[in-house]
Amino acid sequence: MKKKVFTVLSLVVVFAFLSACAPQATATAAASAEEAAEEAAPAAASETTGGGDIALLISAAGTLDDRAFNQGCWTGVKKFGDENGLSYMYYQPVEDTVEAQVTLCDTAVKAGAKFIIINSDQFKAAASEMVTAYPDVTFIIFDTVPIDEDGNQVLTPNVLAIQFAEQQSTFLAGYAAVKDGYRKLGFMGGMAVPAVVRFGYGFVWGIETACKELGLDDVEIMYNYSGDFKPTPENQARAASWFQGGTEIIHVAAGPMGASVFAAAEQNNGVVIGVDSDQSAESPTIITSAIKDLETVTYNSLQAWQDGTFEGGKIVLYTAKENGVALASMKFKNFTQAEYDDLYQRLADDVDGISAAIPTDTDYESPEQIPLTCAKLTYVQ
Amino acid sequence: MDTITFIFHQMLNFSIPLLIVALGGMFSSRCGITNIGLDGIMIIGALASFMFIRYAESYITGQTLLLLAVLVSIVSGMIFSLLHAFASINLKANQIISGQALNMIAPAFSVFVARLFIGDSIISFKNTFMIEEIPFLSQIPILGDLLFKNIYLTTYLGLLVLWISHFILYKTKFGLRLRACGEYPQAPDSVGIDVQKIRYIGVLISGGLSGLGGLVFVLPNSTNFNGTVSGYGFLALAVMILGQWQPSKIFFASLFFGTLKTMSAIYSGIPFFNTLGIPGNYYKLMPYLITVIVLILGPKSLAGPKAEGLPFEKGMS
Repeated sequence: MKKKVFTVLSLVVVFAFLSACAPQATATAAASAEEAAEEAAPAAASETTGGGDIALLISAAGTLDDRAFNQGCWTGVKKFGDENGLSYMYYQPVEDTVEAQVTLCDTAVKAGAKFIIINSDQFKAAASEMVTAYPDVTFIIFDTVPIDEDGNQVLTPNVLAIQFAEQQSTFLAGYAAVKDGYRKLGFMGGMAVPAVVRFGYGFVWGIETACKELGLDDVEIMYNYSGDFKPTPENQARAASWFQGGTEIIHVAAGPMGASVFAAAEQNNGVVIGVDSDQSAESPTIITSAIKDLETVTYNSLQAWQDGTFEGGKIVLYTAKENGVALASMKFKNFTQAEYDDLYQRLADDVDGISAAIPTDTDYESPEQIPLTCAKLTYVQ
Repeated sequence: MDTITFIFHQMLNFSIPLLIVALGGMFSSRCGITNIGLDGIMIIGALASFMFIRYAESYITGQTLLLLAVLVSIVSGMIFSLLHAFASINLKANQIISGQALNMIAPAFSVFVARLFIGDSIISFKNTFMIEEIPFLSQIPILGDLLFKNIYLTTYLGLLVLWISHFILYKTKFGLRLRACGEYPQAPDSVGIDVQKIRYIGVLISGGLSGLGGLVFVLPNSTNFNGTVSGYGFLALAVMILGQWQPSKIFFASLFFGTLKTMSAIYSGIPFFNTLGIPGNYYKLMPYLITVIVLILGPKSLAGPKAEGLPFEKGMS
């Protein structure tokens, strides 16, 4: 009995110590210990007490420091919060179910959130409940549109749905890679969510376009969705086998899973095109990243909200025209900055319908259906 | 030939961590303590060693750093497994719940600690650990390519662990006592052997090996550690069961699993497999399907150590 009392007491001491390290840990009834841990950093950085004025909701399938999608968004939130003395916090559900996600939103609002950023397509169904339940809270949602049970879009005045023309950023990447001399290319997506599909289709179309312009006949594309976003030996092995089988360059659009592809590239003398944010610091094998400027868009939306100029109830699309997409940190051998600038301008102005021709996720069910006349595509299911 | 060498090296990436962790699980099971917390311990081992690598990599690199990281992973795994040992040996708690508690706390703890110390839940590292070629040995035909080129020190370490495990379990007095504690603890107790002490050591060994397994798992497969080992601790449990709690059989089970897992991942990149035209899902299904078949058709010895999972009260029979 004595022993048990001792055990309980020592556990109490340990947890007291841990929570002392995290001053903010008790501020919200966070969904898991993980969140409590996360709050330590922002609480130290911002002055306000209590919950976060700005909340970022990310899906259970992702991670905050993914060097990609979520991180870009979070950087924008942090920047704005620090500059304006607003507190911020991020929340992640234990699982991607509507119940868990809506509970998460309740938690964030109770903790004081007035501006909520919903990141990723996984929230599609839950978001419609959130925006109707809290008309006083302002929402922006990335990459998707809230959908109710009947499949109708829910665009209440307090929500702005933001989408990027991902296909344009990877169009640039695919085009540049072929112009640079690569002939065997690969695309590795995570789950086949709309944004990832757009990345893939754009990449294929960029390759096809350059292939036609150069009149090549030996361009081959490998194409695969791994079905997760995780850095696993399976994903490493798949990428390694592609490199082994002759693939020279892989574009990976799968957040944290990228690390496995970078590792495979390092071990097999391959090169990689990163995604979402500038990933060049992650590995010397990354020759460029197809980015969408989540950081700036997030920041600007927050600014508009603070200035009272926020306009919800609609969908906005960021393309090359709005500088929403780009290639970052290019390390090509032959493809020059001037060629890039020229192509970018053509995309922005839609010269000869060049950007309108790029397929998006709604155009085709599978990449095999994209009508290619020059490049040869192998879809690995 | 290149293709075979490539497949072999990829297979090692899967098999060696599974082997090490399954052997760890075996030590725990054979002394009578079920340890399903292997996954969590792997995470802690990887966390500690990659934190160490992050801080130390500006001073030392290569094999010295790796060896030190190996020590860190083993020690951290041992410390973390003490929680399980204490709960299941001293407090006689339900070992499944205690083990699962380790699995649940580890990922959250990992994110917490990483953000606390480096402000980032992902710990990146520079991979300076691959041995490109071992002089002389790499000249041996076939074997040289397979075992002495483009290989990690941890592969040899895994094989060393296998040999030592076999030796300890079957050739030493301690091994005999350990096995006795797992089969019928009253017997060693009756001749004055401290069952609790033996069980503590068994769990500590499993913790050390699982921690090491975490490091070995992440090293070749990523450029960073992000608080997960993708459930490979559970897969190691399957390997342990398939290997019937015996080191040599565990070795073959891990090779078997590793090969099938490799096939399921790489068939798309190897022209030979593409020409066969077998849909990818069959490759992916294979490891699990065969495990189920083996478990159904397997011999009775698959039941495991008899006293596994049962708390032991000294002097009671």
